[in-house]
Amino acid sequence: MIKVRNLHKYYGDHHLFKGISLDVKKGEVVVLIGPSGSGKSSLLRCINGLETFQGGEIEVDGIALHSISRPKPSSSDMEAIRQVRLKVGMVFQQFNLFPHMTVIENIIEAPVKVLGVSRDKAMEDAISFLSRINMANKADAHPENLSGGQQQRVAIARALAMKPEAMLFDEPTASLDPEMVGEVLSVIKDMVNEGMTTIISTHEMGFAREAADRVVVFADGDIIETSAPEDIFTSPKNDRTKSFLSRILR
Amino acid sequence: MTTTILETVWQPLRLSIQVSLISTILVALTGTVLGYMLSRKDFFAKDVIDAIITLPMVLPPTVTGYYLILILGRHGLLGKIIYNWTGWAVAFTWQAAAVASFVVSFPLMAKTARAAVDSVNSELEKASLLLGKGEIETVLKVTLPLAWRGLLAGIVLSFARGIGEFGATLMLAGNIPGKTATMPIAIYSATQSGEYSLANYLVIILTILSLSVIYATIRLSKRD
Ligand SMILES: Nc1ncnc2c1ncn2[C@@H]1O[C@H](COP(=O)(O)OP(=O)(O)OP(=O)(O)O)[C@@H](O)[C@H]1O
Ligand SMILES: [Mg+2]
Repeated sequence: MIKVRNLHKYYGDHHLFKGISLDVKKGEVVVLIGPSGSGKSSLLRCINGLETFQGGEIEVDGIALHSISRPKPSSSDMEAIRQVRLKVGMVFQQFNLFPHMTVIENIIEAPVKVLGVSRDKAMEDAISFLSRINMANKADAHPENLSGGQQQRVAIARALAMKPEAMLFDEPTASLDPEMVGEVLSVIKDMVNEGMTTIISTHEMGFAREAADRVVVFADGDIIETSAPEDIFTSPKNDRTKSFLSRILR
Repeated sequence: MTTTILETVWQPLRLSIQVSLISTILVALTGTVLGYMLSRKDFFAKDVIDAIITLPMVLPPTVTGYYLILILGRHGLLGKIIYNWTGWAVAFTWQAAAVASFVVSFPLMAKTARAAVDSVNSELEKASLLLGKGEIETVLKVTLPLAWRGLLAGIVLSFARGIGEFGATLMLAGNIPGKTATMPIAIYSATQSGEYSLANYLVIILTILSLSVIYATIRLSKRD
């Protein structure tokens, strides 16, 4: 479903990714862990075309993004990026809801404008999803009047309303108060249980253990270990994985 | 034939409003586009373009007007082409007053629009693009609605600047009563010819007009 091959990424002179590869199968849940600055966000941002890369290839459901060494992407590059974005939804650490729109408008805007879904159908779907996450009563609220946990759940609803083939999460609970982490993770878990292909960068090791099919450990722009969660947490092979886990699990 | 004082006041007032409205509409559109480009895009000679459009803010309006004559006068660079084509020259028409207004208020609008767009969190634009929306749709649905307060302030400022425009207008449009004599120019004429009661009326109206516009901006920028 998502194939990353021999990816090279530079930020100016800083050579972050020196040829990393990752294959995510349909329905698979991959959790990215690793210290701050190790490249988790950068990988997610390369996959959805928010960042360019300078070598290798990324393929999402058959659509290839190529490395871009020229300063401006060409129109066929732009079209590939647009196609990929229709296939993968993204949720950020900062929820990034549109502050001038209500919850329901945030959710239905793109399905109506981009996919051509009728307004009524989009409303119906949005309300039914909001009911499932116990937020139907907030449909007409503005984001500023919601808690962080509620905003993040709406951000997930907004991404899922585009019926993506896969979802990317970049530390979706990192800016939440601890008591709200659970409600957001439970929405993600439900989504994962329905078979959504997912890549998620997180520091929530409990979630990784429970929900991941595979855990990928990053350090300094490199993938240093990839294993099933039970192996990573009980018998990590790499010394840097060990020291990272011992720091984060305390 | 006697003209009442009402008519002598009304002519320049109507002309000023007509000229400023048209120039403000054009400035609002083009200034917003350039403000967006300056804020979000990297393009060739960006700083040079920024500097050139800022120039009318610091040059004496007579100098700006002189340049406009060189460009748009009947023998000017562009004016000549227009004249040969259509037999019409913009200089000394009310449109010339609109052009002068446009040129002096454009930098105000572009700079205010740039600041307004700068203040919009660009991550929200990325979120919109990631939902599959195009750049233009993102600008219309996300950037501009979130920047509206600053844009409106720019539009009001541009209108006020247009109403008050004197030097460049006099140079390019001249002082033709009923045709190019806007409020500031009519005030100058009235004072020169000792018609102080006319000058008084015009000054009071212009002051009230400008004051209301500025007051409206202050109120708008305060409201939540
Ligand atoms: N826009 C950028 N310009 C320059 N360098 C960048 C940029 N974004 C990231 N980097 C660098 O790339 C490296 C990887 O950053 P990235 O944000 O991908 O890490 P991360 O694993 O997501 O970290 P965190 O856990 O803090 O979110 C860091 O060294 C960072 O400084
Ligand atoms: Mg990150």
